[in-house]
Amino acid sequence: MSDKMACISPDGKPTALGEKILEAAKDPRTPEEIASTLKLPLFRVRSGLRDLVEAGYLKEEHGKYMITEKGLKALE
Amino acid sequence: MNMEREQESESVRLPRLGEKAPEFEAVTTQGKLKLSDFKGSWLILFSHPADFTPVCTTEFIGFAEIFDELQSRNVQLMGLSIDSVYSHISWVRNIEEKFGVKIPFPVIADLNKEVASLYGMVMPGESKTETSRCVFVIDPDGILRAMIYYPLTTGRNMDEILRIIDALQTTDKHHVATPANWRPGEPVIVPTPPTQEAAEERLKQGFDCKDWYFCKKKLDE
Repeated sequence: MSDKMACISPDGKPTALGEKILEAAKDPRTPEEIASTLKLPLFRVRSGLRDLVEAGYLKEEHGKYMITEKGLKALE
Repeated sequence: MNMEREQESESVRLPRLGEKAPEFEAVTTQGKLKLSDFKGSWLILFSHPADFTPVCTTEFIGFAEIFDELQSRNVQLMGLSIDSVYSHISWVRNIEEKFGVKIPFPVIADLNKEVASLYGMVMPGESKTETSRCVFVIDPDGILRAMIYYPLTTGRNMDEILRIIDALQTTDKHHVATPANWRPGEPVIVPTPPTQEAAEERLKQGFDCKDWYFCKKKLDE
């Protein structure tokens, strides 16, 4: 699952980039808002969001991404 | 019969201008990326024959040098070769160490030739194991707008790649065409009138015309 992902390390935990995105998604945000906050290219954010949703750290509703319980635990 | 099958298996399928660029998901030096991740920005997808080769190294340095210029035009860059992601990582680190140039764009590790096949990047007459030097310009809607193919022996001209971007963006913004060797700031071509009536009108419209079909104008930037 975490094979060659930028935001999930091989042990399944968020990478430094993954953690930045999780921090930015503590409030529901669009990919564009997260990219703007983190000053990252939008394509990288979209890819990272996909990784983090797949790993259960984020969820998506109506185009906005927000952190899950699992995501909050990972940031502790 | 066997020869026919051999020719068929060697045939190269090229994508077509004006159509949706083929979607893909690929492992890159910046994680797994889909073509659709670039929606909303222009993308230059380019292939190179192999990592740790001299012409490709000069090209990567060239692409890195125009990276900021591309960014200012809302253009992203993505490289590709039939090498592993570890080879790519090692090579871009080597370029930084030996040439002092950081490679800021992702590079696809297309070991199974999946993306190369979708885009017709392998030219069997040149090499069956390496991608040729291809450039695909994809617009923010995912439409393929330009393609350039160079042979293995000839490094690309970064200036021309920037010029193509400027020309396409000018065309989109002003609904004009651009003449040979056009540069930003120079007169552009007014689209040829499609009817006899429009042709008669054309000469009265105040453009710089040699004839009804050949009119130029300056753009008000």
